[in-house]
Amino acid sequence: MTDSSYIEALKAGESAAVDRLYRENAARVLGWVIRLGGPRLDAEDVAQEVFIVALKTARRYRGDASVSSWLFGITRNVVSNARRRAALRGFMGLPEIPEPAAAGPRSDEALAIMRRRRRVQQALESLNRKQREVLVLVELEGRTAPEAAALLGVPTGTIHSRLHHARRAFAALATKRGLRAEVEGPGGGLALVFPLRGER
Amino acid sequence: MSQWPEEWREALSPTDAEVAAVSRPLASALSRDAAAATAPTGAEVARLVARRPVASPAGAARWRWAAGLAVAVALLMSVALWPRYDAPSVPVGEQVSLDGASLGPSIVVDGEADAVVLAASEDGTVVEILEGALTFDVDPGGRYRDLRVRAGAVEVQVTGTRFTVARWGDVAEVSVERGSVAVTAPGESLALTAGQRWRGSALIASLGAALPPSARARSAGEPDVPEVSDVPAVSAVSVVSAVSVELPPVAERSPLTERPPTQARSALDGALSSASRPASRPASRPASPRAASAVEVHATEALAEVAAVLEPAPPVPLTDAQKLEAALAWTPIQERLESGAVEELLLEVDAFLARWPSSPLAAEAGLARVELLADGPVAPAVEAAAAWLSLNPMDPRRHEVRFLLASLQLEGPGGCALALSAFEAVAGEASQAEAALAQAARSEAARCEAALASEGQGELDEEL
Repeated sequence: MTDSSYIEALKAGESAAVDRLYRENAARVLGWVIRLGGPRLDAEDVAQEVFIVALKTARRYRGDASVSSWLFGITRNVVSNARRRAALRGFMGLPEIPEPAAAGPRSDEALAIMRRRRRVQQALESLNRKQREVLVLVELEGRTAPEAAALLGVPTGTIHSRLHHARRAFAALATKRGLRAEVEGPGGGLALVFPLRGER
Repeated sequence: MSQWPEEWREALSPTDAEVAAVSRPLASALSRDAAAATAPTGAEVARLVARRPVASPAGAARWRWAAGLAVAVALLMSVALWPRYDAPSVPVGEQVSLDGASLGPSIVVDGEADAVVLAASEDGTVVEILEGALTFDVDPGGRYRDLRVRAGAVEVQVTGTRFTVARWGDVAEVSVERGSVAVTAPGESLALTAGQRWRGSALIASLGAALPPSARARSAGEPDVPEVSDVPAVSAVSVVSAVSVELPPVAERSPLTERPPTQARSALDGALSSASRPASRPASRPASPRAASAVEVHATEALAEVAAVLEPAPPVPLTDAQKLEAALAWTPIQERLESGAVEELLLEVDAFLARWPSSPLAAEAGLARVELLADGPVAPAVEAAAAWLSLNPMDPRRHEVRFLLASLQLEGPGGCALALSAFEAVAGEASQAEAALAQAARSEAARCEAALASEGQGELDEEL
């Protein structure tokens, strides 16, 4: 199935195209939700919402951007709304969204992964949305500045600027929370020696 | 506006090393460990993939939109095309001549009759035929087609058909041309289908209750008389019921323009004509001309002959609420029995008996009726007393009524020849509590025996 036929099949709601959309993008979307959404969201539910919105609005997808870029735009909006709802729930004193019941019994390894995830998520929460997005795309996903710029729809220079401030802010928070931050390299780039490795 | 010197711009531009440093992903523990810590696990991805929808929500959404739009259009069309109820041109609650009238969007009336449209609304139409024949054409699928047609005691229920209801005096006839109707008459209810005809008595006392007072006055043509006097001859209701005559299917519309001579009709006409003979017995209490007329209508012969032809209506058990309602209706009548005008009381008692024939108070009302008739001609009173005794053979007051019957017979043509046995029966059967009544009966019996003996001696002397 070519990309164009795949897009057309996706617009028509064919199950094969839907399967492919999920298979190729489930990990990516879920990663975005985990890193951008923070610890208070049920990542799987929000990721599912991303796909539902994508399938509902597929006919408006023109195909001039990659499916990944299209999904990232949807993820940004869905995560933003979910974070707003979670903040409202916290403000009104409603209980936090529980862990997904489907997770089942967890091993020590799984609990350790979840614990580490929470700490990174809490660290990312200290950044504003723009800085968090840049840091996630460039530092955690290894994308280049032009790739991040294409996904976020901003100039490359803006990526540089946001990334610079994101690193500074994250370094300050890491220091404040006892995480070691080191200045690495001649250009003054920040390198954080993440203590999680030592906790294993 | 000053121009930035080129050398300043160059001095402020980042070097390639600086750009590279900023652009270079952090080859550090952050990028490795943080990425690993926030990467979704395989189980999470698998669960997410498993939650993919089977059908495209976009397609379902389109179907939902289409279905919703179709439903909305259908609703709008139904509202726009829903037939409005047009109020009939004839006034409701007044006697009118219905000829080619239209009662709502689904009922067309044809024919000539004096009738009263008792109700005409979205909830249904009720027409009371006073005299004449009307053909109703009801659209089977039309709106507001619930129709009830009354002809005296006969009620026809229909939802979609063509039929004719006629009333000539106290005879009602229903003829069905299309569809079916349910006919309810005193003592029976039946269903008529196309081609069938039913004929029976229309005698009722409920007309007064069915019509509004103004309509009753107008329908009777006597606007100045009291309402109760407008009730037509109702005394026969207690013994007259409808009779159904199964006729062969009619091929065409029933000719209802002539009064049908039925067996019941003939019997009733003959009885009523014989009952209209002047009474020979002077009344002990002066009766008005209206009272005399009312008493004549309640003639004994009419009741006897009609009762012989027609089967009595089976008693219908009353509910407690109906019993209470009957008691409330009887109380004001009872209170005026000693002081009210005879003819009005008689009509009210008859109306009560017609309305509540199976009430526990019916025996008391019947007894009151006998006593009221006793002030008029002998024959009606005798027949009423006999009828009461036949209806209430075990009533505690039976000896009292039997004594009254004997007293009436004593004054009639039969005289002591008829009354003697009755007096003797009362004297022999009366209980100890009725000692005075028994003594009076014995006294009357002795007087009759003496009279009969004297008559016999006189006749013997004449023969000799």
